[in-house]
Amino acid sequence: MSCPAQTIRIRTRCVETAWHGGCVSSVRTCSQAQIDAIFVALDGICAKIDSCDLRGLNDLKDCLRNTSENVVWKCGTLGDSIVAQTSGNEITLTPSAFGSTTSRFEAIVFHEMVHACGGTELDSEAFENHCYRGAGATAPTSDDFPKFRDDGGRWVNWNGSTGSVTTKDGQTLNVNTAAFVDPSPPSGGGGGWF
Amino acid sequence: MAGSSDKLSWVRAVRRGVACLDRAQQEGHWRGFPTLAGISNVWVTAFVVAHLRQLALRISRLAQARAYLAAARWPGSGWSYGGDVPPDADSTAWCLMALRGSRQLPPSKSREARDFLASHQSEHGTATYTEDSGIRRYIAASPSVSLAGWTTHHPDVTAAALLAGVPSLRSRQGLMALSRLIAQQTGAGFWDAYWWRGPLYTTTLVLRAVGSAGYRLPRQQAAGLLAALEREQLADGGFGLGASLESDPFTTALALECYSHLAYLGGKERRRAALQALLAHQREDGGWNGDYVMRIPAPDIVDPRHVSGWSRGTDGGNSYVLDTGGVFATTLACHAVTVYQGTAVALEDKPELEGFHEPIANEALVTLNY
Repeated sequence: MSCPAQTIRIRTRCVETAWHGGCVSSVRTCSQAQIDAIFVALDGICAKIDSCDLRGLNDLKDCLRNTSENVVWKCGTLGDSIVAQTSGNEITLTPSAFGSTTSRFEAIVFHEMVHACGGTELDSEAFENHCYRGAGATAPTSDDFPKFRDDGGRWVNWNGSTGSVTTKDGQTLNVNTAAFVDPSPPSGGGGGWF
Repeated sequence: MAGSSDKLSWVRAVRRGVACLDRAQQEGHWRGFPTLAGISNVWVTAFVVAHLRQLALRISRLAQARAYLAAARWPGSGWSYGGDVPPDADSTAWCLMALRGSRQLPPSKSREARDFLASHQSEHGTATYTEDSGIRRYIAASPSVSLAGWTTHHPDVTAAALLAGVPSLRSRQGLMALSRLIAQQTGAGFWDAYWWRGPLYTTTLVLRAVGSAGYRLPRQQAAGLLAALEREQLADGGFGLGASLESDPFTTALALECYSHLAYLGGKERRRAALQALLAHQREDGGWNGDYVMRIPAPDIVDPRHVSGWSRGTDGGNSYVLDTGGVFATTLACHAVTVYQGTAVALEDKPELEGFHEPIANEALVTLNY
């Protein structure tokens, strides 16, 4: 484990295939400037893991330290207003994410790394707002609350009435509780096969 | 040490649970999980039989259910969720487990079903459907609609296929597939699922597969899982579904089984508390209540985490589906209590599974020097 990471893995895409279908030439999905930005963010995140109060969360901290090397980074576009997304160990960062301020970009990467560690939306939002409060974090959006209600957290519990977020062993996280108050009751109805 | 009265109460609980399932069987099968495709009969029956074939279910009931399943196989293929739904890998895996060793499924037909299941596999795992499975026609999806979610590999289905012996866990190919599955453990300590809320379904199946192969999890991963279980255990000893802080029988049963598979690492008190929580939720009729434990992502959804909202009871894409009558909760609770009773002899002297990693093709990654 090395934190900050000395190497990272970048997704490539094939730009030339041979007659047998194999790829003979591929390019990185991230530009050198984007790669540099990821390294800078990872540098800040490693410092944050040490400075942010994450008592009793050794498995999460170990994972975050490892993730910086184990994640496959992909640069590309995503639908709607999504700035970043994680699928398995692949984190996709959009031009919009790279266009953010340095502190916001670091918080975005941190948020996605919590997902890559198996964290739910509640975990990612909670730790982002705990560790980057006033320094790059953004409050949960209305789209996040149904996920909070349905999935809960792997590392945290949430009280939708008060907005309080605590770790499973009771440590209160330093989030803006007003931003975590559940704005609406659970929804139902609608939907078809797809 | 558990006293004889404790053991007697566990045996009684399982007997009452099995009796409840026995009463719920109608015309040779069980039903549950209503969706737009109808209520499942085949898949649900296979799941129940696969778990209870070693328990005290009446032999006649078991025989009826197996005959029902054998007759439900699609010609030259595998099994489906039920009704007119095309066959899929998960239903086929559970039916193969339910019919294992049964004369109801002759070797030639078993081979056809195994070949069908194998046709859903890649080096990444097992997909639930293939593009040519007929599912597109069944759901009336136009060619422009993506089925990428339903046709990609799913860890929960991959684990079920391995337990069904496709590929065999006694083969190098099977151990490699299992090793790749083990490598998908998240930093939270669990294995995520595609079709299930919460990670404990897949996690339990992974532990079963490792045990079936004659191994233990690598120590570091086993310790990570044990810590995760302890972290998520509620004050009453049970485990909740989603954000709920109330114990859910389905989830608690799976967690209890996980604890039991990891008994060689300790955790006796936690394990016992999970058992007590599960027993406390047994209904008067011997069964356990079901909840919206299953989910159906829309067919294009590859990662269910990206679904912005789930509905309940509408039974279509991006919805949670109810375990009606608690058929699965009761099945898993009976199974978990039985496994718990056997923990004293479980996993003695098994080696840890390690090493079978191979680079996966089509992942062209570059490592950059900082």
